[in-house]
Amino acid sequence: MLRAMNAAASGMEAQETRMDLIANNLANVNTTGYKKVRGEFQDLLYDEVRAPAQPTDGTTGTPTGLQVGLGVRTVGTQRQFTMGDLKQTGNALDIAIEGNGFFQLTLPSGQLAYTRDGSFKVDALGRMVNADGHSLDPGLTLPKDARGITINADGTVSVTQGDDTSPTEVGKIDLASFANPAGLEPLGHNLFTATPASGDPLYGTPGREGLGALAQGFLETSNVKVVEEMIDLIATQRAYETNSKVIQAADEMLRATSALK
Amino acid sequence: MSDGLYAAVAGAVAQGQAYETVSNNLANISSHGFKGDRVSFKEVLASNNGQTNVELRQVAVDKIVPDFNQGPVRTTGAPLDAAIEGDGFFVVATPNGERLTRNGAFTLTSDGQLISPDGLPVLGNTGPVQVRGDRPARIDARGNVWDGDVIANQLRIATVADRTTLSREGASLWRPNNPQALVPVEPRVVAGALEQSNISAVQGMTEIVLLSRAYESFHQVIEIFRNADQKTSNDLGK
Repeated sequence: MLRAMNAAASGMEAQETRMDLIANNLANVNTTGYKKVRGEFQDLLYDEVRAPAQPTDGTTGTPTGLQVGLGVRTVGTQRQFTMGDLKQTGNALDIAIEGNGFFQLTLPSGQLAYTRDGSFKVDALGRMVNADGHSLDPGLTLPKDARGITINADGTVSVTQGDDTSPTEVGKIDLASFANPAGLEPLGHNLFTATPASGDPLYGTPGREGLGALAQGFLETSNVKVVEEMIDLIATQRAYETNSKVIQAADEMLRATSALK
Repeated sequence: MSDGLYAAVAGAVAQGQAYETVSNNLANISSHGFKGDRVSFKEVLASNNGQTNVELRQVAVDKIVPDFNQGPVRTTGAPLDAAIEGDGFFVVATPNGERLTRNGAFTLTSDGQLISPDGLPVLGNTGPVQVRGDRPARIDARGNVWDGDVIANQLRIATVADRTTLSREGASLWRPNNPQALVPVEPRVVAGALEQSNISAVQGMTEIVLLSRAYESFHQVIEIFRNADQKTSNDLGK
């Protein structure tokens, strides 16, 4: 009976973790470029009372074993890098990546960070920076007298300067990709950093070799689907309740036993 | 003492064991690819000093058999998630040999190796599945693993002749009792989806109620025998 109680308690813990993940996903439903996280759960080791196919006598063996499970554990959380929807903003410096890849930014500490959030701005020095003021890496500076800014699907940035009638190319935005994006470490602020699990960044031209093309005037919305999360929320709450009922019932059964003087 | 008392105690013990299994099933209601267990009981003859007593029959847990019914398949959209339709298991390599799993929540390592959530290499028909990792990898409906626009490997999907001989190892893994006995299965994979646990909360709760009531009933029976024995020893002796 205590095994049952512990298994149910581990079940409640797993549902709690799941609830935390759902809450954070829902909180970020309007965060540009946010990628939802899901929990991965697995059964614990089994108490093997009798292994399958153990010989009972010289010739026959038991066809099945007797293994009692001990509950569940959370093995990890997995970030889902599926595409969010693209939302047209009309802002010339909003860029969405249509497919695989990340923008590379330099943090004030010199560390490199990666993001799918393409809501860029221009700072006082004319550099292209993200909403927190971190500049693109390699840096891209727009001339002071730039008028129209065009960002092509392949990442080339051209501007029309002063009295010119034809645009001039001022730089190029490259994208970084990772063998295992799920292994990136989130830094908050829509930023990620490379880890040994994600591998080193591989650079390339947008729209080539499996990297997504750039879409100017668009932002990628969060890939959290409210309906899906709400269904998970209900399922999680019910599963939590069910596991707590198991503990309650086990408690009542133990009470019945102890009442037998 | 009445002999029936032992039958009632055996009954309560068996119900308690079954309860532990149902409790583990419900704890794993969110584990991808989890297969619940079913408990069956058997009648045993009580024995006393090696003499079996055919008059006195009791109950015991006979088998705990995994229920290999398909769990619901839910779309995730992740390119490396795969669910198997019908019979078969993914094969992963562990330090102790090949193991089977129904959990297809795969990821890549930084070197482009396909791994299970526990970090175990996933095996294809030509060894561990390996992609270059610099272009998007995905799994298709025939279990092929695409590395950009070329097929890198095909997921090895296998089963054993009698699935009830598989041992559970936890962590969604099953151990075949004879590694040579793996039978290849024609892959039928739902790409971008995961198989959910095949535990139904409704069924689990019903079992919990039934088992705890049965357990209580055995206690009532124990109580009745106890009262009867008490009467025998207290009243008849007077």
